[in-house]
Amino acid sequence: MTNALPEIRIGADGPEAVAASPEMLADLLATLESEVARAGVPVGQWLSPPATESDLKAALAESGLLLSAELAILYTWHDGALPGGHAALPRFPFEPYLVSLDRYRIRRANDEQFEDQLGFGGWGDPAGWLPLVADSFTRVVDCTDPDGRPPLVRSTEPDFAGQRPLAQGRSLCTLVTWWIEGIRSGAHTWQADRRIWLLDEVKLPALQREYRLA
Amino acid sequence: MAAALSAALLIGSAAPAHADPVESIAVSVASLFRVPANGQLGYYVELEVQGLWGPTGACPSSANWCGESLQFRTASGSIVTTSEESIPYGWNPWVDEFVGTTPIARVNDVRVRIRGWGGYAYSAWVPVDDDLADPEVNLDVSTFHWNSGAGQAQIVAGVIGTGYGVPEGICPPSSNWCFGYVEGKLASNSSVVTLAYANDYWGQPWPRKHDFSATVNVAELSAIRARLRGSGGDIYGPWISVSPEGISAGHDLAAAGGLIAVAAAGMSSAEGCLTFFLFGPPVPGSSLNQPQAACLSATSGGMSFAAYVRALLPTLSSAQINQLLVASGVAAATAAAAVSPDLDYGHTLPSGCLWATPVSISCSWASGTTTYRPISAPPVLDPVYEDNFLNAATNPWRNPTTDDPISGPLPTPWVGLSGRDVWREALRECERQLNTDNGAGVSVGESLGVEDCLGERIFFTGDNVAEATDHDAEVISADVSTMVLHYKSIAEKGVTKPAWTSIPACAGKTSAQDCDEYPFFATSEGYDGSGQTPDYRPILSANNQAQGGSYGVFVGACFSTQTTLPDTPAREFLVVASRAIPTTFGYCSR
Repeated sequence: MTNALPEIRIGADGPEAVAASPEMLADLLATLESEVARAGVPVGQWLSPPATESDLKAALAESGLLLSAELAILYTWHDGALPGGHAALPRFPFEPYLVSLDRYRIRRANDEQFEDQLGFGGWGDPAGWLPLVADSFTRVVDCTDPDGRPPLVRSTEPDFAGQRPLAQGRSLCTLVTWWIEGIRSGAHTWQADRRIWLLDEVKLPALQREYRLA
Repeated sequence: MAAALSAALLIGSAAPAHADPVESIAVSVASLFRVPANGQLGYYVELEVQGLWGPTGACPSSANWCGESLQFRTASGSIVTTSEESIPYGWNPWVDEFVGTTPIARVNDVRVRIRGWGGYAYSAWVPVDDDLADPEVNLDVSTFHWNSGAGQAQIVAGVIGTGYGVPEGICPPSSNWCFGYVEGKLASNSSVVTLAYANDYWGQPWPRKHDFSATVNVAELSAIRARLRGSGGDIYGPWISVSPEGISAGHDLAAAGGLIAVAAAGMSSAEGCLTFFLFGPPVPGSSLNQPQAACLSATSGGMSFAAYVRALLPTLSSAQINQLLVASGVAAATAAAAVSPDLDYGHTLPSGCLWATPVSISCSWASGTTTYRPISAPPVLDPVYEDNFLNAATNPWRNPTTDDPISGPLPTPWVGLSGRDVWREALRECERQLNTDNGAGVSVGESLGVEDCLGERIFFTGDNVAEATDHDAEVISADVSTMVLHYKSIAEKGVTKPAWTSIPACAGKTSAQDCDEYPFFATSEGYDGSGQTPDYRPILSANNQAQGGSYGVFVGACFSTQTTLPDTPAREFLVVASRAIPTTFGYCSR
């Protein structure tokens, strides 16, 4: 485990953790878990046991999605949150992959309804992008290129189209790095009595605020 | 807009006029287009001349002057030459470019001319694709009211000319006059009359719109159109049909009077006065408003309520007539509600009842079959007013006759409705919401400054996303000011929506639900990170996302973040939320 965080640089696809890799992601997730626990979250009781990579890969494949190495690291860290434990991570009510796949199917059905509406670019999660959070404003991961570079990640928005690629970046390392930075900077503070993370956006680094990714 | 380019490099053949030039000229048209604001031809042409300053040719070494210019050949065969520029002595080869704009008729081809003491040399003609718009004139009707009783037509309309202000056009720049007209066609003999005109087009860049607002005396009309007339001739827009029967303030008075009379059947005159006249200033020291007091006074002498309304209608404004119609519809619905409050959209119908039409429920009781009106069914408006909204000729905004609001399957009882049916239901519900009392003695529309539903931008959310619509409707019902919102993109807001786990109202959200909010996040009124808190509620995810998709389509079609600023009237829109609207869609200018 390391406490040093990678540098985030702006690339062609948005912000990206320098030298992002599955190994780096595993380290960062462990750091995130310890930061969250230090803040007072009973993270061990709130997050699910890990998924198995073979089950995960097979389930994604049923929906035509490909498992990237980073996504495998994420779900084999924890398979989302247990019921009642979704507040464990700041701004990230992490869902089990089976819930995410249900969400994915809802999004696709919605796409079909609007596919003939010219000019509507959607929420930024076309086919092939798996939502990690069960809400309309969610984080989605590109599951179309498992062997390439670290996957693209996005925050979905109703008017995603037409913007320069804000709300988009590359690698889950980027998101996790920013969550850790948010906790360390005091932007995310745990309110134990209310069981919620409060956010003071002013304390977020400017790049995070601009890109709205984490 | 930009013309296809002829980028081929062509070598011009010498064409001496007074000598025997030896220069050869290569021409490449890099860009040729029409400037949208004024129709001038924009050009970027490159040239390379070989053989200058030799012993002979157009520009021989014996002289020290040589000029170059660009020539356009128009569709009519005229040749237009640009200003001549000097070529510095001794340069060979000579490479240069022509860049500029010029008012000119449609161009077929272009070449370069060299001129010196030895005469002229030319490149070959290079064909070009000039996308100059054909001259066109159209009528953009904002209002057409015709009062046959008074023999007057009130017209508010724009005459829009395009592609006319170029040389050889309808109104060439050399001319100092160019008229726009609104013309009418008489129903009886098809003769054409001028309703309004203005000499407002000459010397103008194009496209040009002149807004006419006129009240004209005319006995009858069947159609109206736009016309443009200049020294180059006349062009006409298409005829737009107008209905000539008994129209006043945009309404069919006979139909409106009939609808109100039916709703008032069984009421005393006094009851009718109090039930239907819900608008107007209060009478000081009384709980009545002035129209109610006038009605009570007029009918106390024995005049029937129906007769009073028929006499009154021609004196009312369009919005006041709508208010009367809505009040009549609400009265009818209230009567139905007294019979069975459960017969409505979104309710499970009692055993023995089924939807007969989208606005009627048939119930088979032991005593026989009874047809009910759903409590929330919006009141019927008169057909002329509805047609003004539904027809392209009288609706200047998105065309309900061609724009299909149905983007997915319709729920019961709406299955089988056409797009036009959906538009009609949406209009009726919109007018109902605007013309009901806001609880403080004025209509909702008056409190919002919104006169009617022919406005510029409306987002309708309906029965196909029932939980989202119910949420929005309840928030609006609690605070009608939230019926008017302003689009603001997420990028412009610069804040991120909180995770649902940080929103207490959504603490109980299940994995099948989304944390819905109203006012919508992508509005000025939505969450802004500084204490402005919308209303949150967990709702079915599919509902939230389908509504979000429709909202995305709406804002994508209706707002430009490039040309309008957030938090301004240009971003304003009305939200009409009701299960009485079959589906969810937006409405705005084309």
